[in-house]
Amino acid sequence: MTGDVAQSLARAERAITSARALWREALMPEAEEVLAGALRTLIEVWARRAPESPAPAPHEDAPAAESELAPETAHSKYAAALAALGSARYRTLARLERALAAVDAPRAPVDAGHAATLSANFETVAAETERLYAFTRRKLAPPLSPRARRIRLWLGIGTASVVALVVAWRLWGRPLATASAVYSWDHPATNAIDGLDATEWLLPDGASGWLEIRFPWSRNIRQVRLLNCHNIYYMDRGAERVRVTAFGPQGEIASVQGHFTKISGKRNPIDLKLKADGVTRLRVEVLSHFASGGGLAEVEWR
Amino acid sequence: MFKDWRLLLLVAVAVGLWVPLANLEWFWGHEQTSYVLRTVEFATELRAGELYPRWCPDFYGGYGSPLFIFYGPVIYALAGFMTATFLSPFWALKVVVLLGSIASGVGTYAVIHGETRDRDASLLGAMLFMAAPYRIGNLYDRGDIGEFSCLSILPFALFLYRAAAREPLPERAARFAVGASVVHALVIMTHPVLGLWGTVVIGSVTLATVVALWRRRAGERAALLVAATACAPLLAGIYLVPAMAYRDIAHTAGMIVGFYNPQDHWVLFKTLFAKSTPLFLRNFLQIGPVLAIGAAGALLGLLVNYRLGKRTLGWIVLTTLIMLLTQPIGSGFWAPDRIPLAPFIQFPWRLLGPSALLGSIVLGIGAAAVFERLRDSTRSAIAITCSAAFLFVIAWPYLSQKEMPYAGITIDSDSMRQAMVSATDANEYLPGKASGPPSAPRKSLVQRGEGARLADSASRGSKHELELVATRDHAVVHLALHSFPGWTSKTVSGPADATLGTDDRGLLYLKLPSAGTYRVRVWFGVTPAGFVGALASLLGAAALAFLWLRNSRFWPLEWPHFARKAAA
Repeated sequence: MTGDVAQSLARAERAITSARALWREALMPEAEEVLAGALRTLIEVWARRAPESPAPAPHEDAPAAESELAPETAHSKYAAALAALGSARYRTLARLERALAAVDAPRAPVDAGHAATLSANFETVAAETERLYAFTRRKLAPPLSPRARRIRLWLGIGTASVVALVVAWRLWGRPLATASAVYSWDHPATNAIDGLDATEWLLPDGASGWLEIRFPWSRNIRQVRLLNCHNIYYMDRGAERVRVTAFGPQGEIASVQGHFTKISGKRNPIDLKLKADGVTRLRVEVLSHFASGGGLAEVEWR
Repeated sequence: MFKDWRLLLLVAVAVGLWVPLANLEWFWGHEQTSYVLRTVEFATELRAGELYPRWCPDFYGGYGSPLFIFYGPVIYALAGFMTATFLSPFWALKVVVLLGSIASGVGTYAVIHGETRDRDASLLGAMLFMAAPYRIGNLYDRGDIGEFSCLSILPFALFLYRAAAREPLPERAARFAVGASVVHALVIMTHPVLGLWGTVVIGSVTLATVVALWRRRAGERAALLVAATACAPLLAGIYLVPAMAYRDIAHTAGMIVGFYNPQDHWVLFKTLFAKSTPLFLRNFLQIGPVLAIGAAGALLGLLVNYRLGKRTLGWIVLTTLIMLLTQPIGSGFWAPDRIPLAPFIQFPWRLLGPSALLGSIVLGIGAAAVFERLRDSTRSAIAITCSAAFLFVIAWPYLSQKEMPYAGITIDSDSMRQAMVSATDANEYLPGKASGPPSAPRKSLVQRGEGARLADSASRGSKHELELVATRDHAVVHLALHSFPGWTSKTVSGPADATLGTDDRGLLYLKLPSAGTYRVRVWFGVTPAGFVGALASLLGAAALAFLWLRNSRFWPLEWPHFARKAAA
């Protein structure tokens, strides 16, 4: 951006800020005047960017009156700016012309006895001032800005995509576990798939039941490892006979039974071979139990 | 924003007012664990793939409840999303409260700054609102996170509507107006009761603003504000339409009888200044000091600087009118069958929240009038001193609550079904056809079969898949699910299409026309009214998009301004 363009833009920005302050104080005709000044400042920027054109030669016969020449000069000045804007592909040239005509039209002085009101063309003038200011900043910005904008845009898109993927995975990419029943709020079904041996899913006293794991997408399973519970501190619960069933979209695919031999304070896994492709759900049924009730510490699949 | 030390101070105070909650595992407010349970249900449905959950699948022993049709979804969406992804429901709700706490202060600051351009006065008013007993008591005593949050974002809606009116540039004004409409819709969808009354407050302020613009021949700006205000309830249609359409087929009439009868909850004048009442040992209705300080600030402003001080008058009138509705003098307004939906406020003292906000705005504007006569350093010193006084004298007694340990709070679906929770006291969101809550949790998705049995079932939230074997034609299986508009079935495979119906106990059943094996999906989808509401929201969004774009460079057509011809 050249120095004079930057200065003009800064002047226009100050004028717009002043107009906003006047508007807030309900000094609306004054705000309108200041906005008109901002519009003239912005038009001058584009007038300076228009290519030079030779001045019309004066007629020899009749010396032209000054009043006849002045409007034409003013129009040529705007015409040059409008032509420059047209080349830069400003879209609302017709409205801009109307706004400029409204700005140059003579206005009745503000009468202190009447309430402050706006002129009929205020919206057009304000809209074109705002649009031309934004357009001028965009078009006459330094060459590096579009590149910096592109980098920021792609960085933003990349970050948003990564965040969206992580969120989507946390929402829908993890297995869900439910159970037929739980012993208490402290021993939910999710304890059996949280990767922690110390947390356990427990069934109510004396009850058989099941735990079901739903996968976010179908998978091929070859083996299922079950870790028994023992209800730490009490050592009074453990699954005895279990059945693992793999389900696909059409229903049951394969099933295998197994059994634990005892309740143990140590890690006590059994590995069950279960060959099933396209598994969407895995159900582990506790068919019988040791001592007070059944449950599981972990269910793992491969 | 980060350059303004007053805003940073506000944020720091907002965090400080939240810290007592953060230090508790959970707390014994009137709502107890209701919000926790509802958040867990919302998270369960999100993880089951339902983007806008309407059904609570684990309430009433697994028979379910259409609670989210009637409850504003914003809080549960935020907290439920965080619960479904990274946090526990307790911490998700605490984060929501923290955001609300910050929004209260920043929003009120923005409103007052927009009216006065005085940062110190804005700080003063915002601090008074943050210290208001009703605002804090809504959280620590009532535990009503929904109402607390609604009150927190109400000032943003007021700020944005007023900013749209104060903006001379059309595109910026349109952006403010569209933003205001969106925030206004969020206010409605955060808490329906306070959203309704918040709309009354917003509508009053907007009406006065529109009249002022019209008198100054800024007709197009006035029309913009009116359009944006009208779009807000349209935008909230996806929630409002089903909530209104289905309230007669739940037990919502129970919301306004007995203890919840509004006629039994007047606020006497002395209650506004009492430390405790028969109903509340710690009286969080004590906003008398807040209103008195606001009135004193306005009076001082009028005396010292009438030109600026008179800006408080409109706000004082609005505050007074809202306040009068909570007093016995306002009883006629709340009479049954007089004004639609009015009795659903349950407690007229809910309006003390907006009153405290308006009183704080009055203080801010009055203070700005006084501060114009003072030096900068004096203004800041007064603002800080008074703010400290508000916090230590007014707010401090309310910043505590008895801790409820995590142990014993069910936050998984299976435990919730077993415990037969419902998250409300009056069973008002039990479907209307159910005569009462079930006596025991469901043991299986199929309660009983007539000529058919359940071979297998799988459930994810409110989505169920059943494998049924019908041993004869016209077999029926009765499901352990409450019936409500929105339940849909699809026969994935089978000799014929199964059809869904409601039995005389208000439960769903599936009719299997022919003998054979069926795979049937049953899920709670978009209700018919929900579909209409979604269309209304789309219409509102389209209208807002038009308002935004029509003055922007993205608008393809040249839009004619309806300019009046200038007088000759």
